[in-house]
Amino acid sequence: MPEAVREPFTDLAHQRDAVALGMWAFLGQEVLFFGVLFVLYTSLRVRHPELFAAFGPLLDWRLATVMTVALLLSSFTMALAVRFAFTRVRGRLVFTLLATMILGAAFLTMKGWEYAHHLARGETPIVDLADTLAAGPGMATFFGLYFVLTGFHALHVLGGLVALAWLTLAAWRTPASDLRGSPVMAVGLYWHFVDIVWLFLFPALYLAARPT
Amino acid sequence: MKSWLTTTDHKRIALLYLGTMTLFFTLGGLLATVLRVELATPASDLVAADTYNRLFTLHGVIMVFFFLIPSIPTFLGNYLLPLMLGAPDLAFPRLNLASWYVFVAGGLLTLTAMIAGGLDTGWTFYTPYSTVFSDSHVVLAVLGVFLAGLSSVFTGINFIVTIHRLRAPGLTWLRLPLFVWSLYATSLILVLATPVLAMTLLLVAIERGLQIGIFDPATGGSPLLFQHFFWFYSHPAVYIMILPGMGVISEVIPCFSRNRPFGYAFVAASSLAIAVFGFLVWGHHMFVAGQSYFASVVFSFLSFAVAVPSGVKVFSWLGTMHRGAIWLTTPMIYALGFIALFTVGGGTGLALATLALDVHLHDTYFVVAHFHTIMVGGMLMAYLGGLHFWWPKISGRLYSERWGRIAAYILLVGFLLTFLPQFILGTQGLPRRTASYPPEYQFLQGLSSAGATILAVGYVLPAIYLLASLVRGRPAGDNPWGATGLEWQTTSPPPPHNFLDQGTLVVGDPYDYPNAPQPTIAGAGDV
Amino acid sequence: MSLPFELMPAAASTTSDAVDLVALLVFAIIGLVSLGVIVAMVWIVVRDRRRPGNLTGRGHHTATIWRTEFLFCGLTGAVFLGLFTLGAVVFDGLARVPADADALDVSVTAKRWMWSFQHPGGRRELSQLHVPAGRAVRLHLASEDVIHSFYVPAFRLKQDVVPGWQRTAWFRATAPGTYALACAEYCGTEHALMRAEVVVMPPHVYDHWLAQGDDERPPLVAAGRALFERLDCGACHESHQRRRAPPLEGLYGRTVALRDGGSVLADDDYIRRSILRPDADIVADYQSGVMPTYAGLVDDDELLLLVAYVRSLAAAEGVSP
Repeated sequence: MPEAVREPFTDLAHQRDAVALGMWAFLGQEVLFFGVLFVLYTSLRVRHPELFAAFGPLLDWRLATVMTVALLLSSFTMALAVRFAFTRVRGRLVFTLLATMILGAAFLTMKGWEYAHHLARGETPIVDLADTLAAGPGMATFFGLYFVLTGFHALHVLGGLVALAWLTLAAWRTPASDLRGSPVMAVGLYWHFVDIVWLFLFPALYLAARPT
Repeated sequence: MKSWLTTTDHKRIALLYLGTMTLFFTLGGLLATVLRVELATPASDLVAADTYNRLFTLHGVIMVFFFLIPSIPTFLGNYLLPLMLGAPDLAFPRLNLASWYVFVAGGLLTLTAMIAGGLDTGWTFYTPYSTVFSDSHVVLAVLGVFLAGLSSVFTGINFIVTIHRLRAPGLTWLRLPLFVWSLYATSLILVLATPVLAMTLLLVAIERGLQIGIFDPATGGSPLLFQHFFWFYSHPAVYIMILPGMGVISEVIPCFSRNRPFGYAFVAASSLAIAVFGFLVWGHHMFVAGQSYFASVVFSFLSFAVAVPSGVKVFSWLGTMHRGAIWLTTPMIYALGFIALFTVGGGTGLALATLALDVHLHDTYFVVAHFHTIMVGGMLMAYLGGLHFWWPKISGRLYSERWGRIAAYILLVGFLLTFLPQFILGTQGLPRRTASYPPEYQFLQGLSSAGATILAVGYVLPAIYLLASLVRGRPAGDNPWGATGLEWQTTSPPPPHNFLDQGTLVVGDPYDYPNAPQPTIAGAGDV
Repeated sequence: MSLPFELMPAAASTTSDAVDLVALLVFAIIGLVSLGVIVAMVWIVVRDRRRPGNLTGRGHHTATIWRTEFLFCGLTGAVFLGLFTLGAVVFDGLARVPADADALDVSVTAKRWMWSFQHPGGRRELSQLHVPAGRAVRLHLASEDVIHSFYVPAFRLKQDVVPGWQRTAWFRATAPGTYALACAEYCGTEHALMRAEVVVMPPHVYDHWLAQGDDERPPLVAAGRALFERLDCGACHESHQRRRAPPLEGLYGRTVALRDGGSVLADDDYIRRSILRPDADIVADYQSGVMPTYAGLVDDDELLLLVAYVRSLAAAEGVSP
């Protein structure tokens, strides 16, 4: 896939510029998308601080720290990938893209393990309608928030992995001289954004509720 | 056929949107017809209350999310934006096609919900009714609307990038047509408000489908939080609907007044001001919902503030006509109708923003009449005006000007008869969304139903004579109205990449009507 | 007026005249402005029509444009500011719940698709609310299912009833008569039929009506007291010396200092919240985790009883620590 100038653009720099602007606009809407979740979090936390005090400690902050490190490292390899894409170093580009994917996949694996762990202990977000005594805010409310927040984030990581796989495949098939920088740059912007979301989720969920 | 379904030409995609949205509009109109027939009598006799609730919900969902929000941007905007910028296409042509497919998928999901048994939550999806109590297909419908929203976001991103990066050489920001300014403001809202609705609807689907407590007070959720989220999108969405309409009017009026726009900078800036202020007024839907007293006062104040730039538009349009050479063509009649009805609609909006008065008027027919005046009287008039104005460019043919004028007047009369009585129903205290009503309201309800019949005729007529023009209409020529935009510098309809020779484009004063060519259309000399 | 319809139902509460004045002013301004725009439009269209000799517009000077645009902004801004202020001032009067000693506290429960009412004496009614003219009526509204809205057009009164919260609204009827009460928030199949009547009676007729009520049902406060005892709330809330829980005497209507430094007004909603979610607001000098939640143990009707009981203690002795 040579980096050709496509309709409607007439020069390459212009086209790259447009791709970047488009991605920034997309990330702008992503901020609002996740913004809803953070407002939901704030609302619940203000109205029901007792839920966070009671159930927050059930979250495994050690594992989450490892996950944070994995994502931070993946952002580093992603940044390298963007650089290698623009300088057209094919081998290193493929390597850094793969490394990013492996770190992302590691994050998701740990997340999945964590989910399974919570569910196995009965820490479920599903409200049991038959159990009238459980009515009212309780464990299900807290874990509902936890699963929804981290779930949407995990879906975004998954989407990033698909995009990375596509980039890796494209880089594998393309001769070095024809490598295109702008798609890698666009996916890179997205990947960093998803990272940043986690950097807010991590303290908000795992750390804020811990006794000092 | 295949070449249409895989096209990346913005003009063809615009026409795909036109076709799809006409279908949705017809469906929404048919639903409204049943509603109006039912409301002709006080009792719930033609359809059961449950059916009535499903009908008004679908009317709202289809009209708002599948017609009013996408209509002008995705049809006229899609078609005209590259032409007005002197560009061969939008910045991301394939994304443009994808957004149409996503839109169609969303529409199909919503129709599936409708066929499977319908939706009875109202288009506002208020919780906990929608998530816990409703016995209808909420999940399917909200996913359908979610997809329509995604399509909006794609369109918005595409427009923003196109306006930033694909203006013809010499086309500076202050030379942009006012329609482009309004599309730019609209796109900002599309990109920054739609995701809030998207996530909120997903949360509704999650709460209902997976029984995870989010907005349900029984599990610690807050129905008011849902309303905040919903209106954070849905009030700006009103501006998504009306801003492009204002843009159309800002093109039509200078052309048929043969004048430069009065206060170009004010009109352009007011579009942005409306977009920005529009984000800060959502709480005026919640004056009696129990939000804090302080919040209500602030939201009321900001709602008055947003009316100032809207007023600037009306004032500037009148100024443009003043000392002009006014030519009452079909698009111009629609534009004049728009100005009058938008003034009434905006004014009644102020009545609703007035705190003490809103307590009485909130959730009554007054609100219904108010937003239909803005939507049908405003946005739809602008849509039809724009359709007629650019029809010669899009189809290459002239429609019957005589029938066009007749239809426009019929629509105006039908509109007034349908919705003016509803204002009074509201001040008298009839709540909205009621399948039956006490008999003392029948006189006004009957008037409204009668008006709707006239309105229906007014909608059928353009469909007939516009289609007829495709077969029998005379060739339009490149610039029948003697208009100044770049879109008139190419053939009608334009070639695949819009301009045969980009180099010959004359970019300058966008509204140089004093020196513009005179109309080529027959009869332009008289009247 | 000789119109075949009235613009608004006859005003019947002490606040409705002020609202009607605002309405009159706002509608007059809207009408005048709309008419002005239409007249100006027609005048321009006729005077500046396209005709031989007038085929091109004559335009305006830039200075004229800027001057008039700014003038227009200033003018509309001033008018809008006036309307806003007027609306807010009158709204302030509507929002302030009167603290009259002789005010009537009525508990209102909305559920699909009916309104039920309970008087301070314990008398319950369905779909009809009897009140005396001239006295302030405080409504304590709760919903058992979805959002409803309490709407009496003749009183110009509307208040959403949100499940999970208790809302307070009020009115003071001026003239005896029967007034329509409707649900204004769409609430499902029979939303249109969720109507009731407010019957306003002269005070002595009301007293008579109240006296002939069924005596079997214990008065609201007594029922609340009985429930209070059955749940053994007094074990903590009545034994001041043990200091496990804050006393309830004189609590209602007071501002309560909280442990986290904030403060909260002890209104219906606060008391309800404290029963369902005791740890949401911990009073200064008390501990969290002491009181169990009563969510699921008491239903909405019973909550109204408990709140009524706590309200009845407002004037009781024995608080200020």
